[in-house]
Amino acid sequence: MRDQTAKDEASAIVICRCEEITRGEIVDAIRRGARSIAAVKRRTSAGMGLCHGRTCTRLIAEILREEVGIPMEELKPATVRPPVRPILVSAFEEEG
Amino acid sequence: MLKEELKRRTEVVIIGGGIAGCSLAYCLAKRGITDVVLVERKELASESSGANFASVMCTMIPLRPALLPLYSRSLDAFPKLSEELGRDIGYKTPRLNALTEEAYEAGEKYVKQFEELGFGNGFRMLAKNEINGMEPNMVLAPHGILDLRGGQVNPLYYTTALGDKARELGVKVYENTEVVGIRCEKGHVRLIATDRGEIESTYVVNACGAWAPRIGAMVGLRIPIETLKCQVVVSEKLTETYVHSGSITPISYLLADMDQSEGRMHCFGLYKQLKKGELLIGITEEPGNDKWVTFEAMEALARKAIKIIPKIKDQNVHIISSYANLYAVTPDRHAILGPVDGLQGFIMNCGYNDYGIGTGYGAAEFLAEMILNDEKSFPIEELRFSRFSSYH
Repeated sequence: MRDQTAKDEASAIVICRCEEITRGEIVDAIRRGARSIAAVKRRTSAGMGLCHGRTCTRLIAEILREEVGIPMEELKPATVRPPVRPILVSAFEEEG
Repeated sequence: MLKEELKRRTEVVIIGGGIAGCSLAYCLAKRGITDVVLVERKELASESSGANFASVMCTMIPLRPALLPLYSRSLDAFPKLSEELGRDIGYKTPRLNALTEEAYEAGEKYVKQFEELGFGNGFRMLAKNEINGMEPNMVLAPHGILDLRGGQVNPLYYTTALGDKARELGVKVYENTEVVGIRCEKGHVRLIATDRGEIESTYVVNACGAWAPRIGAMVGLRIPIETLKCQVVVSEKLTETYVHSGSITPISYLLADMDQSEGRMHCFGLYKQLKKGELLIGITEEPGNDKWVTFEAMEALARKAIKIIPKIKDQNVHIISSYANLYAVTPDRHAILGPVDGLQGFIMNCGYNDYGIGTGYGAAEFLAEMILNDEKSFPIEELRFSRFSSYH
């Protein structure tokens, strides 16, 4: 009983804050077939938000290791897409 | 990590883990054909199927009525697929095509063409300025066509959900596995060679999108597919709804083709807000075969978006991401589907131009039925490879 509660609590932990993705959702993506950080990203959007996965990438790698035994050193981070930092839409406006 | 041993012999090998390959794997498995292997060079949805504008649209159908059956079957499936696959694929309707005063007549003609094709109930002309009531945050041309069942899906969730479900039903999915050759004997395909070993198969399906010509070359076919680069930028998540419809073209290029006559970048306005709140701001198109996002494209997209959705400037909205993909463009803009004369067992499932997400599922249903019934031809003549008779 206590184990189950602990498990539920672990599942509810938010791993990707930007996209609000929980540990449970990431484990679910791995059970569906995701075997890399990018594959988890495609199934959950974890790492696609404002910070581009700065925090959650390592956490997701950890979960992949726990769930399917992929060593951390084999897990490459997902592609980072420009812009590196959020940029105001208006920054692109024509001057004058 | 230890990779699982490859299956040595199977009934159907599908090369390519994008929307074409994943749809077909699922449509076969759903019909009980599970002796199927899907081989993907990278991972599921790694290329164009995972990085496109995610539109469910059929703007081009009056120009290309042969595509209607594919679109129609996809539209029948979309409302049911989230439940079937156990995953929200993000289907959201409708699609709006805004029209200027000058384009109004063309729009009416267009809706009439749909009626003649037996597809009338899916479309309606909007009354003048009705569109502004539907999209109060956008500056749109005053007229419009409402495409009731068009809109958007989340292409990443959708493509991976199909592939994952196919795997759950028994299809073998080998990712990070590259096809290096195909062996044929006496006019039949016999096996594929991969960097992990060989797999014998009765059918080999080419579902490789922009890379389909490479697979074609392995069996001596010249597949006339060229690439067109498309770029999109993504905003931060917005709690407010800026764009209500599933997908919007603010000024329609109705009945205009996507030919890139000048060979330079074109920026078309195309907008949607995903369920999670981010805006997709599209799109640019230009000839090209790399997937780098350019500053030039970001700038063009942002400038156009400010004109169409002024609120994004007033509310200090940020751009947080961007991506590029490659359309697989065919000379007549029709997909290439079905068997190939003179090479039994080799099946085309490629050349979807800019409509793979909207039509790939319907095409997969036709192909799965064809394989199930052991038919030797594809029912839609205009989409067969044999139309390029000079390419054998």
